[in-house]
Amino acid sequence: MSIFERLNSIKNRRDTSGQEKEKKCLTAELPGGREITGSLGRFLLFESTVPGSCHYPPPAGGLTANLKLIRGIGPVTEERLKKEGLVNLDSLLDHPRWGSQALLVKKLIEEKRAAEIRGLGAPDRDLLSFFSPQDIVFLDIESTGLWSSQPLFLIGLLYWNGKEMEVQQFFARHYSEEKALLEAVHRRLKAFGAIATFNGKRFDIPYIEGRSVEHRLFHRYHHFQVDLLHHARRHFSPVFPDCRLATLEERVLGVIRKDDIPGHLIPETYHRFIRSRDPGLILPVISHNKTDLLSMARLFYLVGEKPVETAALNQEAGA
Amino acid sequence: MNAADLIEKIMASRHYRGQIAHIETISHRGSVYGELSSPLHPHLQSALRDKGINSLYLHQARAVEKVRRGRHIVVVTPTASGKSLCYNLPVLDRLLQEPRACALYLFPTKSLGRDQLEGLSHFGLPVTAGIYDGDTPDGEKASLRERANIIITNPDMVHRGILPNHLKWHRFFTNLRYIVIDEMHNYRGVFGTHTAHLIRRLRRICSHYGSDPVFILCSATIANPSDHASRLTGLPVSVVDDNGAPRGKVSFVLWKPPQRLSYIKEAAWLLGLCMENRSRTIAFSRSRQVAERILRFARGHLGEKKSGRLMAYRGGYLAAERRKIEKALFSGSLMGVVSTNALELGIDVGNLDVCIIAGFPGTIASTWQQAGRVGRQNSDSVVIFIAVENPLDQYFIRNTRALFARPSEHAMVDPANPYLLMGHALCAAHEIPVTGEDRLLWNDAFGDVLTLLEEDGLLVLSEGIYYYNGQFYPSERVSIRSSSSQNYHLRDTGRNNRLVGILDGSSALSEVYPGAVYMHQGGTFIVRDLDTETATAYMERGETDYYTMCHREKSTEIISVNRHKEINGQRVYTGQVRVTTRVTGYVKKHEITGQVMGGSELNLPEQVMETTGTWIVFEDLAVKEVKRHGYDLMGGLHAMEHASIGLLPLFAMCDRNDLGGLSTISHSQTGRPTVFIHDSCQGGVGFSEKGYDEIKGLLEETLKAISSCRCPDGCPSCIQSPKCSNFNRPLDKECAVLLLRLATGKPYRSPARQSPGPFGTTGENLRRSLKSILGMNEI
Repeated sequence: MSIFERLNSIKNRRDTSGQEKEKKCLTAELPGGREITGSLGRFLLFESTVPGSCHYPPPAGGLTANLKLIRGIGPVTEERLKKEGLVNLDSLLDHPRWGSQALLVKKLIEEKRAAEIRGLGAPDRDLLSFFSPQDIVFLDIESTGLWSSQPLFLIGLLYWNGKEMEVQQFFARHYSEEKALLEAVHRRLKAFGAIATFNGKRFDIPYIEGRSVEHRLFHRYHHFQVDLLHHARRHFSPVFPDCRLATLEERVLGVIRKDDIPGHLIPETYHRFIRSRDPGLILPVISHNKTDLLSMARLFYLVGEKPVETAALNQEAGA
Repeated sequence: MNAADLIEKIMASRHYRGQIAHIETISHRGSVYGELSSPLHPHLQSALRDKGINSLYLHQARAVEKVRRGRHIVVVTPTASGKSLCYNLPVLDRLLQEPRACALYLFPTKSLGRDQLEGLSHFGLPVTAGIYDGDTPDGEKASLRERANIIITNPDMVHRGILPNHLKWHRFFTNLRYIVIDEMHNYRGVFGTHTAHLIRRLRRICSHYGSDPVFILCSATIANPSDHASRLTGLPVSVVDDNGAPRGKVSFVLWKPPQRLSYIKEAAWLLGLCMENRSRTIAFSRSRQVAERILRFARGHLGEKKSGRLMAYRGGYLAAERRKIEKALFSGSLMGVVSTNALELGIDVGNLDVCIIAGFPGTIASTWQQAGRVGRQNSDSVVIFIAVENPLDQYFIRNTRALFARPSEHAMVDPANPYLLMGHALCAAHEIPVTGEDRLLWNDAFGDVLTLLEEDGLLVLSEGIYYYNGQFYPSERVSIRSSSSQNYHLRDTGRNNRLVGILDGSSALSEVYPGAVYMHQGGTFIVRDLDTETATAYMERGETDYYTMCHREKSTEIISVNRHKEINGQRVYTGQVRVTTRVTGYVKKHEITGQVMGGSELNLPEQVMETTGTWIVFEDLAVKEVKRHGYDLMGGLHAMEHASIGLLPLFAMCDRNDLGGLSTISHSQTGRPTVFIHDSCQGGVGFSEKGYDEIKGLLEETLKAISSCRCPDGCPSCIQSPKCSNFNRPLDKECAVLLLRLATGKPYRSPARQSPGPFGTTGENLRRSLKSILGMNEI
């Protein structure tokens, strides 16, 4: 049928049946989820714990020994200074040329201004020394599109409570619950100093911020951010065909996902869930999100500069 | 040299053979000033004084007053009447009082935007303005989003760049106070309809961020400024047309080249003659190629020494280059320019004495914009309109009032065209989910389109809200300059299949069929292969001494009737039609003699287009009359179809290429002789519907055009169509006159076909004195 004819028949239906019936959407009940009433409305929270710990890189105190943090000092100058016995910022404080700048950098370090120090070129590994493992939260979202004009419906958080890993997943049972969810996550994240994501610098965090603009909440996330994708690329892009999370799981963690829902089907699945309220549709998405979070936690050691595996992998690739 | 002397000189030339059909004198008019009820911001006042402006013209004052009261306005005044102050003043006045306020300026082309930015910077006020378009570097884009008060851009950028990223623009949208749309009459037809949807999307985003901007539109003179502005914006818009700008006396000459003489040569000769008589002259042509030919011939007339004082003036020039040309014109080192119509839009070229319009530029509004290049302030000036051999040009020569009477052209848009609406509904839902309230911005058709998109799974409906569910980025799929979602790629096989152009899918099959000679950017190509699966035409450069015309089989099916009425016993309808076309073959014709040199059959798929149309059905009495006179009914219907399509642009601003038609002695659904006129884009944009509204006027003007043409059996000036797929066969001019007289309720008398008119056809070649020609109608 042509567009004209289809529209003519829609018009006839409208004229004869009056207003189109609107399907009333009841909020779905999902096993495992707990309804939370936040300041801006309701949503569902899934909580679970996983034994074990995140693979935190060993604490590194390299910041004060990194003379390259001073503008104007490159690797060559650093080496020369170190040969002269000026091995850390403290020893530079009296230096006629670099002294005042060394003092500034030292202050930034004392005040733990991670983002600014990163701006000077410090690696994530060193900056993480500002945060205790309990201060770091892993974050992963599920949305209905690739552009933040489309609603998101799930924000998963994972963190270590000192004994085991806790997972909290904030889920909107309907598009109308998104605002309450965003507000609750915003409050929850205030308890953490650093957010670890996989491609979150470009995707997850701007997406959440964008959605909050849409709802006129204007949240900004000033947390220290560690993007695992950057570290994965640093290590593996010469050897792996790509650095997608699934590839890393398979080749680094040795895990192959079974019955996992492909990412590109997730928006469609959520829309279908809204209409059918069938838990069978959405539970796989929630577990997919949780798997992503756990994989990120296991890959977190990549932030350390030279993981042992890299050399082995290189050999493997060479063989 | 003054105007009368120049015209005298022209008529005294040995080349003159009575080409002047009419001279209309438009008298001098003085300035009218207006007062503001409360003064402008002191900084703005002093900036105006620095520019030498001490008082405002009436229309400028009215515009400021209305905008201050929050009214949406459309300013309709001629070229060079100081239109841009009508928006710059209220905008700058507000920005000086409210430094956070923002304004969006929309121009149809990038170069106009550049000119305006330059104009704004001359005020020297603490206002951040910038151009945001495809050429803006990314870093600057971010800073404009964060800081600019005035964003100058074009509809394409709003569609692809700004609206889909509205989250990044929340500061701007929250503080948006004014939306300025210049050259409003350009937003018509398909592009205009897209823009109407774009403006609704824009208004939706504004209200999301809590702003409700005032629209300030500017337009050339058209018949329906208020109505068109309202259809574009969806808001009530008040007209400001109290023009207070002064104008010098203009002598408007209608020029009819002798038969079989090229109008291009006439234009070149006139251009040379004006320059030799020390008149600064601009000549407008309809295409770049014609401009180049005029330039070449005129240089031939002028001789080597003076040739250097004539230049071409094309689109794509930067402001600085234009200033240079303008300066040269002013100083007298340059006496003439030949320009394409790309430059008629609001760009200032300085003070000129003579404007030559070589061929009707397509609309009366454009004609006046070109004519507005001369005759500023208190100087006398001359406009020479050279008619080309086609129905509209000839119409203006024979009906001398038409150009000077009240405007008849309506700018048309059709926000209900579902093909265009569907794309924008998806874009809107992608920007922010669509609610019931949003339907108020559009119309009932919007709700129906949403339902259709939901049935297709592209939208999801929940609790009355539509959410986007497509896998693609919708604004990339919607081209706001075309009605077709599929475009054909033209590839040059001689250069490694390089892409040389893109052609709208709706016209591709009848232009780039295998064997076709296709002109593209001045080059000649021969199409070798057409792949309809991948929508690609493969062609190679070549020189030919022939051109090709395709033969089409066409049928028109009525889908539904929207309205109908009776006019003098014949029935007229408007509604939805389905036009099915199949290109069945083509012929090669010799470039000069037009002789058929061969051809070939083609086997190409059918093309189906749904659009809106208007059709007239003739009753049995009419058929009897035709039989009684022994005329050819098919030829009469066909001739009437061609001629009325040729004249519809007088009522609806469009080109004859925007229209199609079909005539038949017995249509399968009406069962009677029927003439269809339809829009030639998917979904239709209201051109032929305007023909229905104005059917009486359309048929009367068509009748005038045919019966006043002195050719015996039809010519390109009356009933022949350059794009007829039946090669203008059959045509019966006298039968068309009979049918049109019946439909307009006029008695018909069979002519004594042998006797020539009172002047005879040779009368044209006689030289006539100025006195006998002035004010005379050549009928």
